[in-house]
Amino acid sequence: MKSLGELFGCFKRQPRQGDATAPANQSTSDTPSMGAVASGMPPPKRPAPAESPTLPDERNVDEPGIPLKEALKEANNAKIAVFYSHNTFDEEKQILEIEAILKALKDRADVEKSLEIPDVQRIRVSSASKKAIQYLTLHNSWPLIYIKGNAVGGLKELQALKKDYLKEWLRDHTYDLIVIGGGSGGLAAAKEAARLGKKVACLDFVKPSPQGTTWGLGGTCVNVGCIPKKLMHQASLLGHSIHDAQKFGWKLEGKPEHQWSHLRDSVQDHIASLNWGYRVQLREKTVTYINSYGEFTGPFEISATNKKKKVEKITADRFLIATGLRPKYPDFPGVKEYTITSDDLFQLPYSPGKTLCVGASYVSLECAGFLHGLGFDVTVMVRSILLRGFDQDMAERIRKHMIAYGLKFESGVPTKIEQIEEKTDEKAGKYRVYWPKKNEETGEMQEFSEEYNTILYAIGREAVTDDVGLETIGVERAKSKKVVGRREQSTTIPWVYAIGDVLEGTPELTPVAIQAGRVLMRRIFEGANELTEYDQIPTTVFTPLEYGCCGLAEEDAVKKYGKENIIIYHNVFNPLEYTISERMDKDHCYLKLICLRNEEEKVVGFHILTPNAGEITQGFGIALKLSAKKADFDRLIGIHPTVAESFTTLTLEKKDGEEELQASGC
Amino acid sequence: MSALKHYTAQGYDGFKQTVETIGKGQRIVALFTGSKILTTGKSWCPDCVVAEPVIDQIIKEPPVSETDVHFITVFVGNREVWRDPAVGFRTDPSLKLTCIPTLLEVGKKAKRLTEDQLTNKNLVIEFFVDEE
Repeated sequence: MKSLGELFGCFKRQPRQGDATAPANQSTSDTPSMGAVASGMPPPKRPAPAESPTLPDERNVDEPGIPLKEALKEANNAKIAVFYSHNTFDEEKQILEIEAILKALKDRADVEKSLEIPDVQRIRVSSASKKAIQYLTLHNSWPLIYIKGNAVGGLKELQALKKDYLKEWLRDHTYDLIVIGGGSGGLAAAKEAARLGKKVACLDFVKPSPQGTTWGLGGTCVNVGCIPKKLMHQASLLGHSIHDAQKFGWKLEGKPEHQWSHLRDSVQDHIASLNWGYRVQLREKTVTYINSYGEFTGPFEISATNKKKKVEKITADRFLIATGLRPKYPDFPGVKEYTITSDDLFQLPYSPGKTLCVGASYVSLECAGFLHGLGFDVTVMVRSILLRGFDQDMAERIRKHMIAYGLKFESGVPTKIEQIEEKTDEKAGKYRVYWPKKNEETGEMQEFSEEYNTILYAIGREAVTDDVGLETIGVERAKSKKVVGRREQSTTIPWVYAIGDVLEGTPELTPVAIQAGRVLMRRIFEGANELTEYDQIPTTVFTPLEYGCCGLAEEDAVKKYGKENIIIYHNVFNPLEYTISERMDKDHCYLKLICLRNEEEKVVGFHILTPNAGEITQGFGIALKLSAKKADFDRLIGIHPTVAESFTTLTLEKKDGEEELQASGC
Repeated sequence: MSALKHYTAQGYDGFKQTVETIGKGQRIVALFTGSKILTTGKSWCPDCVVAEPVIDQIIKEPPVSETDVHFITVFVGNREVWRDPAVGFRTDPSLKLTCIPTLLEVGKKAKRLTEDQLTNKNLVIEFFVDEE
């Protein structure tokens, strides 16, 4: 008789050429979003349109177990619950041990107000549901314990929890949820939790910047980020529109001049109305707003200190950390006294004057952009590359545009700042900034210096979590001091959650924080089967010529799929509105689609440099979410005359070493 | 002992004068409401008719009655005066009223409550008491 090997030898497969090069994971979802902090979170797979994650047919009669939706709701409502699936000896043994640990917490009979230990509610689910629950929580332990609606882990994780923490957990507390941080994420979550009928408190307190700047309820976006930035960007664009208007026949006298104080006041008035609006909203939705700095002084207790240093202690069953970030400062003398950051720019009492923007972040470029547009002499000082994390080809195009636009760029890092003239409430000061620069002739590094009225530091933002008491209770933080989370739940303390910029591994964007906040509240308060999708998030950099993008940067696509598998369609274009006005920007507008050759040219990256990039990119973002292919873009008929229609007629492929594209009119 | 001081003023000029009389450095809250029709004794503005008694009650009781604040009930005038787009209440950049009744803190033009919000007792009490 022939051996099996001989029988089957002839059928032995040769490794196919394709297999060797095909990357393991074809999904587009486990890559960092544009410009985001590299995602440490495991990728959510693309879910089916209905609920996420998808689930095979529940009605498998061979496996007993209650339906997933019901099961999640039960675990959510029970004081203590355990998910199990197979009724095996091992599972049963673990459940008994779990029950024993909990029983051991019981107080002696003579103790006053003795703690009542609730029974463990056993919830049996099918193995398909088990997979879904493990995916939803990213807890792999099984049987899976839930305490007061929070996934804890298995027996091992329960044993790791401090006994007094566990006891305290089972006691009643004042609030269902305390949110620390009244910004984009915190407010959205607080309102959603209140909508779901929970008793919520929201703490917000702004520690003044080194320059003494502070602001009201609403967080970074409302006060010192997105909102004032976009308004000032608009102010700057309007200045150009005034120029353009003359080419379109408008008769205007003299050169338009801009008054900083008028813009600043208008912007601040709007922000004040937003601050007030949020206060009223929280009140109307019965969220208790506390204008105090919160710090954990016990596993379920926050000590809240107000402006007058009065301390109030409050307790809750759950906590949500949404404290965001603050601008980073370098460490050399004078920098905190003589420079400002985005925290201060939008409330600057005096006109900025000649400004140096230190940093290559979008904050630095956006601020430099609008300040220049308003008429100020602006220099951007960068250490190395622009817009780290973003598509570098696009970053280079932005740099070229900003230079053509009139902004100055310097390579270097300031080492010293001297005050020449002190600033007053009405007038900017004067400072001399020193930095090492290569002498053009000798090739040696020399110390250069230049005087500026305002120095804006925008070298990055960091989590300020040292004073929140996280170490006291043991909430794990990354080296960045951000909170380490698993599906927004602390990896070490299961009743503490985090969302927004303070959560490690997620894009630092307002809409991400808002979505994460709302979805998380539904998950933990209703047992909803919903996750936040952190991939393919569209974003826009509001430089003078705006840059919108969604999906992968070119270099990330190449790294992930291999150069041979990527095909890039691109083009340059002249916005019609810019032709008559003879705008220099028209020579810089550009767009590209990054597609996968071996997946029917599925679009994995979308990039455009154009006026109104934000509005355009938002719309096309849905195409990527629905896995559009190049052919889908081709069969879409354009709207004419627009800039965005260019995406419907892309034919040029980007090839190495080719000449710069020239735009043609239409 | 601090206590709420209540004033009334007629029209835009009356309002400006009252504010001047109170002087600088004082907290001033104003309710802008429709003037009363002589024949009926009630305001021509239906929302104002609803809001006024709520506020009247709140300012009589603690904590608002004990709050250190100057409260002015400003009767804006009849319907024609109010509707005029050039009326001082609408054009004054520190007021920029768009509707009545409006409860506003003088000097903090973002801090205001309007129409329906004025029937929410807790909202109104917090408005008076909160000095932020």
